Amino acid sequence: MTMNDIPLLSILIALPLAGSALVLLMEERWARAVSLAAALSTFLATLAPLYLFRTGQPGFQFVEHYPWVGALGISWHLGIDGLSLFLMPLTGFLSLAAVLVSWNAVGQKVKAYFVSFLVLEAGMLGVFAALDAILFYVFWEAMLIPMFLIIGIWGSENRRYAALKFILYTVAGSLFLLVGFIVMAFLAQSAGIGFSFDLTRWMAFRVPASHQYWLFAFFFLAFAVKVPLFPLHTWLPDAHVEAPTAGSVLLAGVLLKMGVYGILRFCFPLFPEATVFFTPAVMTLGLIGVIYGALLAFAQEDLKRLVAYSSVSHMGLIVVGIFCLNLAGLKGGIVQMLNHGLSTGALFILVGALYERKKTRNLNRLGGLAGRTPVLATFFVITMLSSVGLPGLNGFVGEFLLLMGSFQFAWWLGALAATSVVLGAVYLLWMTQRVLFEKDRSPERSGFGDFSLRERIVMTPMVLLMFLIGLFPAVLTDRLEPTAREIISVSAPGPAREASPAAGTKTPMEEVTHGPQHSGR
Amino acid sequence: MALSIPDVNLASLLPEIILLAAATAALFLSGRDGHRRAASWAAAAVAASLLTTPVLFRGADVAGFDGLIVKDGGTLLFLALMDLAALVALFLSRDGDVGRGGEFCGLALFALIGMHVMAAGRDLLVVFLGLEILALPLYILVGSDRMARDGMEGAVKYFLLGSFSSALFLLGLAFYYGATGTTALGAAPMALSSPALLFAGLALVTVGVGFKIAAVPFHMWAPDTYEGAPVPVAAYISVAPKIAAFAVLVRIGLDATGPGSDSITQAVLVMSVASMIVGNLAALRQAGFVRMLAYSGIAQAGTMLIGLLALPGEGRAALSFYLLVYIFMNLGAFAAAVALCRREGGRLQIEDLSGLAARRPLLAFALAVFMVSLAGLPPTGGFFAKFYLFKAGIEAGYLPVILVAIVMTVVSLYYYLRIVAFMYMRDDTGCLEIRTGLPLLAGLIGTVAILTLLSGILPGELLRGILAIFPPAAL
Repeated sequence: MTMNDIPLLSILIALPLAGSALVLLMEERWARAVSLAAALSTFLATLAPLYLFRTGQPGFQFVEHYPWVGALGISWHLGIDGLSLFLMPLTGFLSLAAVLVSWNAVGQKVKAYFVSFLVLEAGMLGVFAALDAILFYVFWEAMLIPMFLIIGIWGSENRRYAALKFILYTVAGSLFLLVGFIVMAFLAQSAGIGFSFDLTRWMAFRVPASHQYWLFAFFFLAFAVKVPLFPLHTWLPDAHVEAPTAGSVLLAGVLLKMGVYGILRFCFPLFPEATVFFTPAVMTLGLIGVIYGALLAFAQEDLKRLVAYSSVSHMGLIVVGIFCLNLAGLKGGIVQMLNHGLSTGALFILVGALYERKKTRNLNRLGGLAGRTPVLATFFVITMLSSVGLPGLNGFVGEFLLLMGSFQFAWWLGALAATSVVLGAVYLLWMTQRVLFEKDRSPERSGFGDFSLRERIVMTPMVLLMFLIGLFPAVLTDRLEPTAREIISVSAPGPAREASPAAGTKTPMEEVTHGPQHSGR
Repeated sequence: MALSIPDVNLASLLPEIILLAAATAALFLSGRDGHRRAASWAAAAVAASLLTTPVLFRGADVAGFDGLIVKDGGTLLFLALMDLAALVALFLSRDGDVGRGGEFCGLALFALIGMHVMAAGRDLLVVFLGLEILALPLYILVGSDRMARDGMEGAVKYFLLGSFSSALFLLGLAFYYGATGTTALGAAPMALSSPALLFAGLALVTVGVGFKIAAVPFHMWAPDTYEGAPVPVAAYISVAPKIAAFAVLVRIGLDATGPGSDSITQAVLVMSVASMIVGNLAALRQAGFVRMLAYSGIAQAGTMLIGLLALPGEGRAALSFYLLVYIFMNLGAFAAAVALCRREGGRLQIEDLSGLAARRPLLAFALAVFMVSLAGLPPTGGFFAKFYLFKAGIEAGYLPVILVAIVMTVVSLYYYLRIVAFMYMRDDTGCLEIRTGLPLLAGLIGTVAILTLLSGILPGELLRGILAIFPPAAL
């Protein structure tokens, strides 16, 4: 563990913060350049763990542990495993994209905007790296204020309502989480570990069954709001529609992932019995979200709202998949977190680009764009297909694994979950047809250009990544495998739940996604 | 009965003597610049009183007047908190609208002496003496804005309800004496002839003190008084007497271990929950900024009462940390109100804050920090303060109260963040005239904002210090 000498994760969190301080001190005309430099260097730094990570080694790596508030058992404890490994570069990447996307989009209060963004980025990275519950909570909540400002200041007409709704929903959930954390620390104390919020210590003792159920409910509530799981999803469409493009990108790309991340990080390992107990209820809600979200997406005229509801549907599928508690479902869930972040983030960028050109997001006022903006249209089609789950693109890998996990759990579950793919294909293809093809329905035919160089720079790596993950999924799945196994081994008591790796030989696809041995570093 | 000379130990009252001298001197200052000069001298006196605290406390308790005054570590911590609150309030009064002469400072210092006596008194009679020394100057201060009609209304309300609560305190004192045969605190666990009488006495004393923290149902005076009083006076009333009252309540809570103490705990529980619910829900509907802060203060008092439930656990430590952070964030919010005070056309309304971020970015940022901290979100001191209280409350077994507290915290988020939304998310700038050229006030707001943030980022040292004074009792 030579890498432990360098506090890599702390540096990662400090970089965007330093960038925000710099933006604050500089003149306004330098704000964009400085934040671009900060976001870029943060992104490059998030790649370092990816490269240095030891594949196949369970447990946390790059661990840092310093006392923080010793009197209350809180420490500055950071570390990542396969679960958070890819979420950090995703965050770095989407933040960089967000800075580029907002280059010209923000006209007023430029400094405040970029400061908010960089603080938000630091918070997001902190959430994924924190191994101390209160540290996690501090990052989790500290992130809300910048997002609140981003939606509320730079959003569209109804922004104040959406911003308040966003923050009230999230805090309402997370305060229960805070109480749950405190109770967990007391349980740890009575288990002889001492009053501590250290997650790794919490994993070492078994939470008494009498406490597991309500603690699970408290924890889960906070994460379910963030996912968002039906019926707690109503803040999402409002927040997405009102947020500026870059805000939507990070909201969909990273913030929603934190819900699933929290479930995997806290609920599963700490409350295995309660997890099994609540699985039917959670799956029901997840399935309702899958189908209800898709149906609502059908009915939308606003492009952003449509993508927002498609997120509800897709995230529901992820929740269903991980609660299957088998290898395929878990790996699929984690992979799909990344994929969804990538493709939905890209979709929001494209919708934002459309809006900049046509000044409308209404499906009934768009159309025929493929002829006039071929580059934009190409990117749009690829991204949409990735979201649909076309083989060869990233969405397919995640959806396939998720559905396989669901079928292994129960055939009817798989059948119901698969409606997500069918319905998703319908509304996404339909949307694409309305926007790109048919005839132009906009009342005015003002001139507008195709993608600029800046926009191409943003979108090209995204599309390349979609292909990369779609064609070489083992890059991801190998590194996720130990984590997924670990989660299963602590969360699923019965051997029946454990998907046998032998099942992996059935299809060629599984061979790709199940074989960690041949490419271990 | 032989006449014995009591062990006076005047040194135990050193801070109070300093304050008394300064208060008396301040009353003689007059003239156009009288208040400013008085404020500087008063601040120096309070600082001196604050500095004598560590000198007095060298590990051992300081006692005087045959044990009527006892200053142990905990008392000294509360005294230091009061001094700190008074210091901030005096600084922000320099630029506030509180009249020309030295009356404000003199009266504020007299009230501070009263608070000191309350917190240090180990005899209910001494506590009552402190309560009255505290109350009388504040009645005058609230009404010091002679021109404002609602100022007079607030003052009269405060005076009437305050006298009433003093009377209740006195009645409780009589009952207490009847039950125990002494007015000394800490006599409760003795064998009693009539526990009911003792219970009634302690309950009435609690009511009398509860008035000072504006806990429901003794909160009626707060909104009108805060709004009617000059803003610096409201700032002072909103924090300093609360600290003194909590010092007394902690003492009663610790000493009342006899029969009937359960009922006192029940009463505190009801007060806490009612204050959180009423304060937060009422604050939602306020249009006036100071009025909103008044209701927020009621709600905050309810939260702080959780600390009393957690006695003898970590309640005291959590409560004192909360009070410390509360000094910063609440007085910071009031200081911002002083900087924004409208001279004509009535009180400061929340609508007046529209677009403040574009006009005064630093002031708006500081006010946003105070609001976020009052709401209890990280990375501000308000978060750890609340967190620690919740922890102490859960440890003491009051999880349902904590659940009420978190639901109400969500409610409070709405009205605190509404201020932020008004400042940052509206483009129309209010017609508010912002006072400029107040370097001292600006410096004060900046310092307090930094302290609010710092206590949320590095609370470790503060907590360690507090825990050294209030070591957590083994449960």
